[in-house]
Amino acid sequence: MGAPGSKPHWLPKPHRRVRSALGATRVLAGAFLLAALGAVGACQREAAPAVRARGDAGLLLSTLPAATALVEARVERVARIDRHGYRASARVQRSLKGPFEPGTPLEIAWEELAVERAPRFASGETVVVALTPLPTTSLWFHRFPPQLRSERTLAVAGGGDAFAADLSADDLERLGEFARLAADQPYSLSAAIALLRFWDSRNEQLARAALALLDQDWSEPIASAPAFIEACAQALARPKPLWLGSAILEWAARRQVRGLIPVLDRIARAHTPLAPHAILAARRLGHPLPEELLEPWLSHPDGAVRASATRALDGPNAAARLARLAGDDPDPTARAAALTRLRELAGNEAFPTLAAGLTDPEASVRLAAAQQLSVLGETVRQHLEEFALAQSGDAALAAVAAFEGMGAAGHPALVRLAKEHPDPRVRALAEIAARKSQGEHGSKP
Amino acid sequence: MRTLRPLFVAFLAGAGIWLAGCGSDGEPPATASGLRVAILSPANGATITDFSFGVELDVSQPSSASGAVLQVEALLNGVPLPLQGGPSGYRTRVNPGPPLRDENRLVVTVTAGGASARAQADFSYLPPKAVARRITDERDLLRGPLAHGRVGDYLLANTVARFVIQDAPQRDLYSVGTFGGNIIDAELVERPGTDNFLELQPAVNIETVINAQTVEIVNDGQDGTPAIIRTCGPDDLLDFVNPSTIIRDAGLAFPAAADDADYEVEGCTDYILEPGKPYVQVVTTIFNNEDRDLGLFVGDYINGSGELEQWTSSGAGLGEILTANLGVLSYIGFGQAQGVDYGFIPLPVPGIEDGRSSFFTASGVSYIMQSNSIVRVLLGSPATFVVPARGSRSYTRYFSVGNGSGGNAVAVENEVKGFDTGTLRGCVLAGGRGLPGSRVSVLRANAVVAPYVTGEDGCFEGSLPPGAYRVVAARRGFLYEGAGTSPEAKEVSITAGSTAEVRFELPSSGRVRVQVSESLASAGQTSRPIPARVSVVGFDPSPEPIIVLNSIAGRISTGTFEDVTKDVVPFGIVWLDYTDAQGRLEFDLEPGEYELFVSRGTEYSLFRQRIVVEAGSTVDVSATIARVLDTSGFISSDFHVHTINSADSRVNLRDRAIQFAGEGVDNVILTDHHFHTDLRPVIEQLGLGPFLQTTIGEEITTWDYGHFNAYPLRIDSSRPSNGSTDWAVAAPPGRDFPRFGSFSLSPADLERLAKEGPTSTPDTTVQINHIDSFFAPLRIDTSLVPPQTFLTPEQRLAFRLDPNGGNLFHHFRALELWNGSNRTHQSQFLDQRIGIWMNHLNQGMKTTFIADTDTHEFRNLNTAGARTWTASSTDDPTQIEPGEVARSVDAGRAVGGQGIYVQARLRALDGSERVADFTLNGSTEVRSDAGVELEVVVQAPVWAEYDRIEIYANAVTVPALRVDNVPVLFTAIPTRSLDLGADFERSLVTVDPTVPGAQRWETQVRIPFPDLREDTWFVVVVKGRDGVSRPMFPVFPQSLRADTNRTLADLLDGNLGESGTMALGATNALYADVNGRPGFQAPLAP
Repeated sequence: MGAPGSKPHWLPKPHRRVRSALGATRVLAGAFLLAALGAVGACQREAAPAVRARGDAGLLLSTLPAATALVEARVERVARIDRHGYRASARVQRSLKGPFEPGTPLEIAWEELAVERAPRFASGETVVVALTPLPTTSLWFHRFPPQLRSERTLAVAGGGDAFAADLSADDLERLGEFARLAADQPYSLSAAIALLRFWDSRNEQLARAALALLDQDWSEPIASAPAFIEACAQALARPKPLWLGSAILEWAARRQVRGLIPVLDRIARAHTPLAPHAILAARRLGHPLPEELLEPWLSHPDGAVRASATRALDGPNAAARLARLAGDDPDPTARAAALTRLRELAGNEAFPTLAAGLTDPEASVRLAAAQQLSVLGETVRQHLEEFALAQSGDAALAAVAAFEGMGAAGHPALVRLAKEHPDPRVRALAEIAARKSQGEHGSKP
Repeated sequence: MRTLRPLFVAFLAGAGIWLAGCGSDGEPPATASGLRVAILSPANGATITDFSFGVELDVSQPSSASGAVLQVEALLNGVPLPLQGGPSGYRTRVNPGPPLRDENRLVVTVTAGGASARAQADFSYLPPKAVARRITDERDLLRGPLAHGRVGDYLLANTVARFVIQDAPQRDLYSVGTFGGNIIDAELVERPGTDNFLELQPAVNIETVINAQTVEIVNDGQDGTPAIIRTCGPDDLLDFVNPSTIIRDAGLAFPAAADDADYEVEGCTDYILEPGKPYVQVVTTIFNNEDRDLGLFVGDYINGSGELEQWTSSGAGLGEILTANLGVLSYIGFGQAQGVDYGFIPLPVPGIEDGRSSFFTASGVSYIMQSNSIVRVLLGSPATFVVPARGSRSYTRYFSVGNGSGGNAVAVENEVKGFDTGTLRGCVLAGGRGLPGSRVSVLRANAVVAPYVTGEDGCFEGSLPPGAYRVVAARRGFLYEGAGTSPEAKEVSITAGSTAEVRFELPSSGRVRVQVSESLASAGQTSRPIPARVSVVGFDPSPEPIIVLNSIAGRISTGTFEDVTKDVVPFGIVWLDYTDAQGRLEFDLEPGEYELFVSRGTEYSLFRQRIVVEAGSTVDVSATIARVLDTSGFISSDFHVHTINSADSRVNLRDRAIQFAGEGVDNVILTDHHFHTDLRPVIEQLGLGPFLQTTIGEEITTWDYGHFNAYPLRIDSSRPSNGSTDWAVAAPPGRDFPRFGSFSLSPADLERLAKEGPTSTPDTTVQINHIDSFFAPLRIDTSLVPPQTFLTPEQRLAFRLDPNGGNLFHHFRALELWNGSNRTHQSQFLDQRIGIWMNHLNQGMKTTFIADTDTHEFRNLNTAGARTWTASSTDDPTQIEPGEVARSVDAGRAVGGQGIYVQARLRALDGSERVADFTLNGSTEVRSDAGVELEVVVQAPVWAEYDRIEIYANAVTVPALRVDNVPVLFTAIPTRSLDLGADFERSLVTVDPTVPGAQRWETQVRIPFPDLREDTWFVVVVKGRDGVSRPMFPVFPQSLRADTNRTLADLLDGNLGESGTMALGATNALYADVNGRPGFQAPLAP
């Protein structure tokens, strides 16, 4: 929440306390007047408020295949066209994609729909920006009539957000390489390999966007291409933040990049919090690793790490251990992970632990338990029904959520809870959920 | 087009593209070299009506120049076109989009070897486009009962539908429509004048909405692409609602992050209309200006508010249900709005795992939570819509208008979500004739998945996803197909791309024609036609199949064909309606045996006749009724009446006027929520002027601390609400939050604003409505001297009140103690509210008791409820002066009743012959040196029995409800009770011997209080009691037991002891000044 008085855009003058009725009328009139003045002032004001759109380097990357140009440019002059429309004169310093040579003057246009924000570009700044042809609506036609347009008049891609002001030289080089390789065949193997280089970027948006692009359907089967596997392995071998490493491993498992199994094995045996993720990914790729590799991570002081280790637990003793973790781990994330994994491992046998999870003091754990019980569905419905009828308060409410998640299978239980449960809140929510569980229009027969 | 052309040319000139010397007749100019070019298509002056069209050029080059390089350039409005072909024939295809406009110029230049030729064609591009423009001409405005568009608003229209986006910024406290920039009107082009839609308000975070400050035309649609209007603004509270308090009152958790929470966010909404589509795509983008990610419960507030039934594809039937997941929400027009429907279809937000949306509906207003489950949110689930720091995120939904079927919204959903569909079509007939207005419902798993209303030909058509369905049909006044008591379902199977057909043949129905007259024999005249109510008593042979749901609000019945959640005829009545000013009424009725009644409220006799309706025949009834009560010097008013202009009422103005005229009310005070309604033009149009007067009022509707009626008021035609009272107080945009010190008005300030505001009159008075909703939430103990509020600062903030606002008790001159028509309402009056009033009286705060209906409905006969008669200088409705009514209220010159008209008088027993009474020129206070005598005069029509008279004199009050241990509701103990037979008699007076039943009960009793030593106020209550007096069925038909009334004979046997609505009447207070000191000293006066 911003500090009081930090909303000067719509109304330039400080607001007086509004209290009396008769004063209210005056304030009302005053408010409209001041609002109108504020609107006028906003059009005329040149001083920049503090907030600016941050830009989205990820959007820069993801719009790149379709963009007309990707340039690093120096902004020379920014002008407001109308309430939301802006234009900037800029000069190309570096061309990463497109026809514009360094030194080429460009007109770059965009909109600031959030008027509380300053223009996203300022004179003297250097930005990397993806450009597309101007939008074709009448508003843009009025902003740029034909005589004011040329092939060097372009709009910022990604709805104005495909830009970044603080890209490193490495990232620029990566963007340039991907732009070149993706120019003719955006979904070629070489372009995919070029994307892997963004895993080394310190820019989280770029790394995420690269991963998202890799999750798309590629024209070539990249997951089994040796060159791609090799590049992946090399990229994984370099240090990276835990969130990215785990996301990559999850991606590898999801896309069945089996060639990475040796890499996963190596990570699993290394002393890195990424190990549990590697163990999990390896198993999803059909290559279970020794359970003892998980041990240090199951007792790690960081609850998030314990949660990831918990999700990777397997083997004959795993169910009992998960049941203990689900009740005992001090971290709700870890408890929720234990419940999820236990259901995956034990199926219906997990019912007692999952039902106990409905009584957890943390709402997120109760909802996780409910979700897993929903997955079990009809097979545990009757037991859960009796359990829910015997429970009160939050546990019974969470049971309602479980039945709701079962869809039609949960409907009879919801009807019974709606009629018989002693807690009126539970009856009320069960009644609501009962209606939802009857199916909705649009669901396929 | 002629007017546009010069403008266009001027534009081109201004743009520096003036083409001097160009011909415009289409003839191919040639150069001396013989080089020629001709524009074959489009021809000069042509009008293009296809979205895409071809351009064809013919170039001829003399053979002598055949070696020269030929260059051909075609500029459409100055923009080059890519050409194909050559060397003589060139062509290209132009698709919708820039640079196309309504008026266009194509210039072709050919050059070869230094020679050149040029051709030009001006043409119109007028395919069936969508357009966006600011409304500058009233002809662009939509019409209909809820059409609020004005010049200066914005029009989105195509050849199919028209929508109005309200101009911004503005503030006009009116339901969900406080702010501008929203859709406020919609209609099909082929059905003008049908707008019944109030507003769709994009919401940021449940309690906050976008307060649009700007409206912009992003695309005017002239180029054949979708028309787009965009509105933008910051977040502000929607003062009309405060869901956090109602959710917490229900014992459920409300997300703290959405409770009056102010964030640094802005929102823009794009309204996108494609050519030929009956729906607008609505895309709202939320901009997070904070340096942290924000989870928001985004969505929309939507209030159909018109004569509309609500249906949601949520596993239920027709009617408002509290909350569920949402496929589509549909508003289906009925009555005068039959033939129009509106649809709302949310799309899942990309990136949210479970993208299903859900909704919550209360009092006609729905909050649609985008891509989140309200059930899960109530269980503590977090917001699913997370906007990144200094980033933005969008959500999309569609708003549609159709020709009257809820199935239209389903069709839009199928289209925008890309479902495979087949077609279902069919007809409903009787005797081979199509039955317009029939209801057809498509069922699956006992829920309505698509409701249809047949058109003029009795037929319908819609699209459905593939699957097996059951289809049923019904029409009011007709038996079901097969003549059973439930509809026969037809099984249909829908497959993608195919059409299934159904046909229903309903049995022929009968018809009833009624003519009602008022006998004027007692006045020495003959008779005159008169508006009255016709009630048909019996049992519906084709009852509505009910789909019962359980919800937070209890059991909710939804209908298979119609909304049965809001406005259903009372038990025992199968049909009711009102005659017109000429006393005429005609209607369809299923064959059978019934008892037909004609009534006109408390003051009139009751006509009855057995009728047997046969298929294909008409029953004629001629009814005469007579006025049987003498209310001279007093006129009756209903002080609390809602119409279609209230968010939660669907009654159109015609129905409202004809109903009150038919119920015998002299003056109807329209008190819509946040709206000033003038019924006078409708009354005049219907010829009801001799029977009905009207007064403009407003129900000032706070969310948390009560409702207040102000009357009489004026109309401020410059505002859509006609001048609502802004109790929530305007604040600068983006700052309408308690944290900025923007609080709602205290009750005292609210009253002052209502009485001294821009639409007030010198006589404006204010009453607290259904007073428990004021005293209970504000925790006011009226038994304390003076009354005190016990609301904590935190609770005040939750109500958006100043936490340091002092005592919130304020003495209002009028209290609505009794609002409604049934036993519950009477019980509320006597068992929970009367003591609050008497606490006022005991402290010397002279306060007027008001009895009225607070009617929002038509068919359920809540309109036929309590009345207040005020002292009047005229008995002629045409001469009633609203200001005089208000002055009588302020002075306490009023009595109330339902079936009973009771007057009281205090006579001084000191020989002075001084009197206190309620008459216009009298005084409600009498001074006596030797006690007083209370005279009570009771009148009631013969169908309204009474058996007890209760006297309250400086009465003791008893708490009836405590909240947080604060006594907030009170009953009172009668000082003396008189019983029929033992203490008083009831005589039967025949008023008009020519009219059967034109009789009244009458009682006059005198009760002396000779030893009165303390100043004393007196109130008289007269009532009929269960098992002693008979209920007033069917004039006041509510609350009758169903289990003891299973046949027509049961219904007509008097129903003694079978519950029902009992006769009840009460006076205001008369004051006896007997203690020798000047003026009235109340027993607990401070």
